Amino acid sequence: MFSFKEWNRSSVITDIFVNLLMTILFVIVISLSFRSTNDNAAIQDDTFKNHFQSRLILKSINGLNNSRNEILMAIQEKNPELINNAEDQMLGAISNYHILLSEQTIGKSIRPSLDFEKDFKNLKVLFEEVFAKENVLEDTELLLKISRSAEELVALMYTEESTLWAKESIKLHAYSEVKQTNLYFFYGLTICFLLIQIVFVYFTIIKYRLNKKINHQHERLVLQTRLSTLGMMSAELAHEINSPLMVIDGRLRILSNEINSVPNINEKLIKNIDIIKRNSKRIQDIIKSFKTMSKSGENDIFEPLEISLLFEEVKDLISQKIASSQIEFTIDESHSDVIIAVRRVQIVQVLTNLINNSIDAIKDSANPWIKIKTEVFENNVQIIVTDSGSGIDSLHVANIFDPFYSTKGSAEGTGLGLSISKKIMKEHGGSLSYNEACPNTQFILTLISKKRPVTEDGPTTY
Amino acid sequence: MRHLLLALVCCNLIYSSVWAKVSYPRQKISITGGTHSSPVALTIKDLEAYKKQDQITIHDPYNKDILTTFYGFYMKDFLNLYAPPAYKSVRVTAIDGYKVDIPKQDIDKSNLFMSYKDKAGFLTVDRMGPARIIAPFKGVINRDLLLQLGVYWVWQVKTIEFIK
Repeated sequence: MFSFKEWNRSSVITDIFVNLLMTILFVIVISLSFRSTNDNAAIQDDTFKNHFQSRLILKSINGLNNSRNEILMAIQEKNPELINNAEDQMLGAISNYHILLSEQTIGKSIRPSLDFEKDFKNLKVLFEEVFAKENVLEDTELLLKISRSAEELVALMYTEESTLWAKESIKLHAYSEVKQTNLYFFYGLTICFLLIQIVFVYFTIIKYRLNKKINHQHERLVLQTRLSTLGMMSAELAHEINSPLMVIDGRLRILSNEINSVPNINEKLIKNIDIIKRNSKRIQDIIKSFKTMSKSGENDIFEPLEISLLFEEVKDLISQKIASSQIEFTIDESHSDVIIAVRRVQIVQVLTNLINNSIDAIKDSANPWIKIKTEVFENNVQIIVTDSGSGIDSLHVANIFDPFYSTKGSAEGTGLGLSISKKIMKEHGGSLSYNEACPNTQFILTLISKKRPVTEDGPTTY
Repeated sequence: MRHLLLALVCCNLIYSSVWAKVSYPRQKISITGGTHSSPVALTIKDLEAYKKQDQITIHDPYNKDILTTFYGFYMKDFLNLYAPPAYKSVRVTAIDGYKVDIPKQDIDKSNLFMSYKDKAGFLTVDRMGPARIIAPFKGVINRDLLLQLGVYWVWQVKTIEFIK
């Protein structure tokens, strides 16, 4: 029996197999239903024929009875005209009898009627004898003989009609059985149809889900290919760019020092130098990010680091930018003696990245501030970075950790900062998350506490 | 002697053919509710004298589907002689008591034909006469269609009554 997972994988084969099975079942039920309906129709057709034949017999009987009555009334009332009516009724009976014979011949009736032709001919002869006389009422005995003959014939025809009905009742019983069978077939057809629909819907859903999964994985594959390519290129690119960049950076320092030593130098010149310095620094930052992407980090070791030292290093890196942006920057020193197990460079990079993002977001706002706070729990430590911003738009929250996703303009953001930061935190056994509940913009770094020291192979327990 | 006998037989035949009376069915067809104030009783001779006969040839479903030519006239033409203005239907009653109401539009639509004679001679009562009403059609009629049309196939026509 297939397990669900195996069924998913071989769903095409299963799909064909189940559909084939259902189709065969459906065809069988349809064929049986058709046969049953045909039987039903044949029985109904036969029933109608028998009804018609029965009716013809009764009409014949009726004609004979009317004929007898006319004869008796003619004798009683001495009205010769009534003898004509009697003959008409008898001839009518003959006519209906002939139609009955015709029906039985064409319809290949189950039971041919008894031979009443001789009896009817006798009656005709008797009437001819009556009309041959001058006065039709003259020979009462002959008229009564006709009446008796008609009565005998009526009895025979009644027997014939009863036999027909006896056969009919058996057929009607068979008909009701066929009707019941038809009903079962109808239910069977309905159930088959519903099952087919359910199976069809089920496999359509599976197909849809598989297609969605395939599309999603295709997108991820494309993305990973890009990242992989980028990663492969980045080391080489970084090296190629770094070399001339070092030269530019060095020469800039020299130029800057020489210009600063010149009195009454044009302010515009100093400003231009600063701009070049800043952009050079920015190129260096970008190169660093690419280097991080290309590094898997698996060769770096985790080392214990006091949080206060971490903050010191971060402050060094961002102080100039903070000062130039005139942002109020505060670090809560409580719990600063807590030790965390980290890859030093990486964790500094993450914190710096968060603070840089905050600076870029709030630098043009009124009263901008950034606060860093530490909270210690039993199993982990949280470093909370909050800025005065009003939070990230809910439209972007779901995507902020995606590579190449950036809310800044293309000139400013690579879209890699948060995704790299998250990756780094994951490697540390911790996490990086955005706190939607905070009215300001707040990111939380969660790290394993010192109770769970880390080795080269990752976090462990005592 | 032989020649004499032959001559006698020929004379008899000629006499029979010239002087023999045509045997019309005795029965009459009664027309009631028409333009005449009292019922009109028509003999087959009256029907024959009405106008030049029309004829139709069909497979008679009530006589083993045998191809039969019937002589008579279309009912709508005949009924117009006696029909009152704005009649809705005609009620046809047979000698054996069978009764059916035929709406006016069905008389026209089905092109109903009233026959009193076929190739074997006048229709006697034992051969569904004195008149019978037929709905003409092509080929052998199937039983399902006969179910629909058969109700208007009245034989042993006795009375025709106009219903307003």
